Amino acid sequence: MNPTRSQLTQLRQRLVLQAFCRGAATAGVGASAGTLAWALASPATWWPWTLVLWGIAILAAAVWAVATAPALPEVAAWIDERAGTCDRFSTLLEFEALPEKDAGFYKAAREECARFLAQFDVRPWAPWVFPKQALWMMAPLVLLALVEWGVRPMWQEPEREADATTVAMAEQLEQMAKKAEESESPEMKELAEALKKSAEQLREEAKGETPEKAMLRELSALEEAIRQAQAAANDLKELAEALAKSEATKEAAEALKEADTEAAAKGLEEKAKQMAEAGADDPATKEAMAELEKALREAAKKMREKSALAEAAAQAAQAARSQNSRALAEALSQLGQTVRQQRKGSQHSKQSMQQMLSALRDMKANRDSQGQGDSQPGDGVGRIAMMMPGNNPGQQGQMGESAGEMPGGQPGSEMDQGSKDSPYGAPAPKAESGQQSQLQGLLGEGESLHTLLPAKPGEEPAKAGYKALYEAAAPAAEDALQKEKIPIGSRPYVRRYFEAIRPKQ
Amino acid sequence: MTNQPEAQAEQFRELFCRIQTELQKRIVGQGDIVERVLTALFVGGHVLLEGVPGLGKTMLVRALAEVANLKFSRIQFTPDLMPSDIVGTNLIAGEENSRKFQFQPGPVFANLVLADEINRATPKTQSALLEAMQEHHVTVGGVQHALPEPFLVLATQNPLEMEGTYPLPEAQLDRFLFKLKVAYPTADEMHTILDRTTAGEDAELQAVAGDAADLLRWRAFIRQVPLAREVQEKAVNLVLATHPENAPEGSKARRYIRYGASPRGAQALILAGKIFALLDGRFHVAKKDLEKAALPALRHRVILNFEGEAEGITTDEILQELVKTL
Repeated sequence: MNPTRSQLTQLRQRLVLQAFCRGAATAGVGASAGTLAWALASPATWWPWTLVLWGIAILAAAVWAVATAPALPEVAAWIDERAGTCDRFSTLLEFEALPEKDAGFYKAAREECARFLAQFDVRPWAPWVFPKQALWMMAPLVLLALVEWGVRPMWQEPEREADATTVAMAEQLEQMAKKAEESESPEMKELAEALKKSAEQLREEAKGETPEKAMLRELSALEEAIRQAQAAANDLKELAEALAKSEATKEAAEALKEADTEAAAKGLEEKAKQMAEAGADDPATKEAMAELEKALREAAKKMREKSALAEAAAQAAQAARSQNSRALAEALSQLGQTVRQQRKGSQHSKQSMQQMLSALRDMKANRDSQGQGDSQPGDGVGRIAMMMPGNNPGQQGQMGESAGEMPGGQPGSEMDQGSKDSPYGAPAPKAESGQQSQLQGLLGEGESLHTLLPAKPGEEPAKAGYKALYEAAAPAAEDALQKEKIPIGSRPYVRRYFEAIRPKQ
Repeated sequence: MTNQPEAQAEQFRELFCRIQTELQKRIVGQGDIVERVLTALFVGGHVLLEGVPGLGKTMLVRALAEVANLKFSRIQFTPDLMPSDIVGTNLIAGEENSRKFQFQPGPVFANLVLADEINRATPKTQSALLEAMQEHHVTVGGVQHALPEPFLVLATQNPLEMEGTYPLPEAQLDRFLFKLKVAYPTADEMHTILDRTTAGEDAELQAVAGDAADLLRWRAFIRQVPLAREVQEKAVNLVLATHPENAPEGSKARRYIRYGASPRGAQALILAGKIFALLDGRFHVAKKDLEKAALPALRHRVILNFEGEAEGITTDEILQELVKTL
């Protein structure tokens, strides 16, 4: 390439670079403004889109600079106009392309131009100039910096504190889970897992915008799970009662009542085998079939709809009705397998589940009525919980650490006058702030009143009206005195207790 | 004259400078005028000199004729001047028995013709000169008579005395290569003029320009100077821009011009540009050469409209604006 062309090429490159810088600055203004708008609209996602916007801006500037790059004759005209070269670049560029370029004046003109331009430096005529548009780019960026690090922290809501009530409820659920885990019943162990998961969920939702909704949601889900488990237990109970009505299946019924599903299943299978061997002509078999058919049909109606046990029972009833011993044998065998699949120990966990259900309902009710009624400041007690889970009937409940021993005597003994000087036992030390206090006692077969009053550690107004609480609990206590097998000698103490805690008017 | 363009160009520059130097012995100042007149001489174009009396217009032409070794004639235009007074006439001449019409050439038959106060003659007389300027021949009695080459008309006109004058028609104006406005001398120049003209005789001038044949050869040489398409485009755009329909939006040309320059204007620009390029040491015409020639070459070819004349706009203003804009 001859020197003049190389000079023009060098100049062209500089001009293209300058155009790119100007274009990038101009596009950068738009990208900056777009970044600012995005940051204001979507504070969490503006960073990655900033890179995209700037990438697009730079790419567009590069494409524009290349697309609008001037041709060499245009560059020659550009520099001739500015540098006072008397059109030597343009003339030389044109004359070199002519066929007569080496003749006469053309040659003389080319040589003269080349001599002049050989000493000419094009670079000072295309210096790098800071694009003025870049100054405009700073405005949105400065605003963005102010918004992001100056103003936005003021705009942003302070991090939510975990809702204390929700956290307290989560802790309650964790305790319930712990108790349920101690049970041998697989159902209770499953419920324990469900309780743990709900507690975790509540802890996560405690900082959310609607912890109350999360609480109610979890409690409802747990309630439903417990109800399902109870229904399963109820199905087995119905089946046991149905099987007990027939002599042929009495043994299996007894096993079921003992919650021994394996034994019950074996019993049914053996009976099925016997019936199949005896045949349908055996009058005893026919009678047994008739009894069984009726009982199983009734039981199936009482069971959960479409449950495996109900269907198996209905099929067995149908088979018994058909007086087909072989069919009945198969149906009983199937029923035995279905029974085997049910959980062992459902009967024993029924009580625990009922207690859990009651506790959950109380938690829901108290959440709904939070903040209503008279309130009295707590005495440094972290939580107030009256939850009474009992694993088996007849098992004595256990008092919490803050309570003394229970009065002596067995339930039903009218001679019991109590064995201690104070029926209330030794005074309980005051619980430290944040410590959980629980009263655990014996839960009878009848109704019970549970109240869960979670509160934050430290002094805080009570969450439930004391008067309302007393007015709900006192009559229930009196009613219990009349109905429960409480020693006569112990009854005045209960009455005296409620008198002592009657709210002052 | 050697054959190499560089050497020839150098000779031309030297000759030009010599002529200028010689003329400066008689003409004080007026450097641009002298350069333009010489340019017209070497290009082969006519010049219209406009200036008040006493500025040395006639002296310039006389001195040029002396220096260039050209035949000079002066025609004083008056209202009663007849065309035959310019071009010549047939006269009866000869012995009593052999008398016949003989053509008697008029003062136009010279290399350098000074048409003094050309605007004082009637249009009929002016048109007689018109043919001579354009065709380089005159027709008398149906017979064409060629004018000597080179033939250059330098016409003068007085801008003061416009009463009783006949402004040159556009067609005749268009035939002048340049219209030069002779400015009043400065105080220093006045001193010099007085020193030279009131003490002693006029300086002796030498014929340094060769002869008429040399002049014609130089004309042919000058026409060889090339120009780039880009530069020629400038000349074309400049001439086209003098037309109101092609003038830039909002320019004075669009507003005040009635008629723009003809292609002769572009020719004048190019030819003058070639000489200016050579004088500048170049072998190609540049845009700045055209810009230098723009005013003298175009000012007389642009006709103002009534609004322009009423507002006192001059063609020089319009042309200067166009030169800057384009």
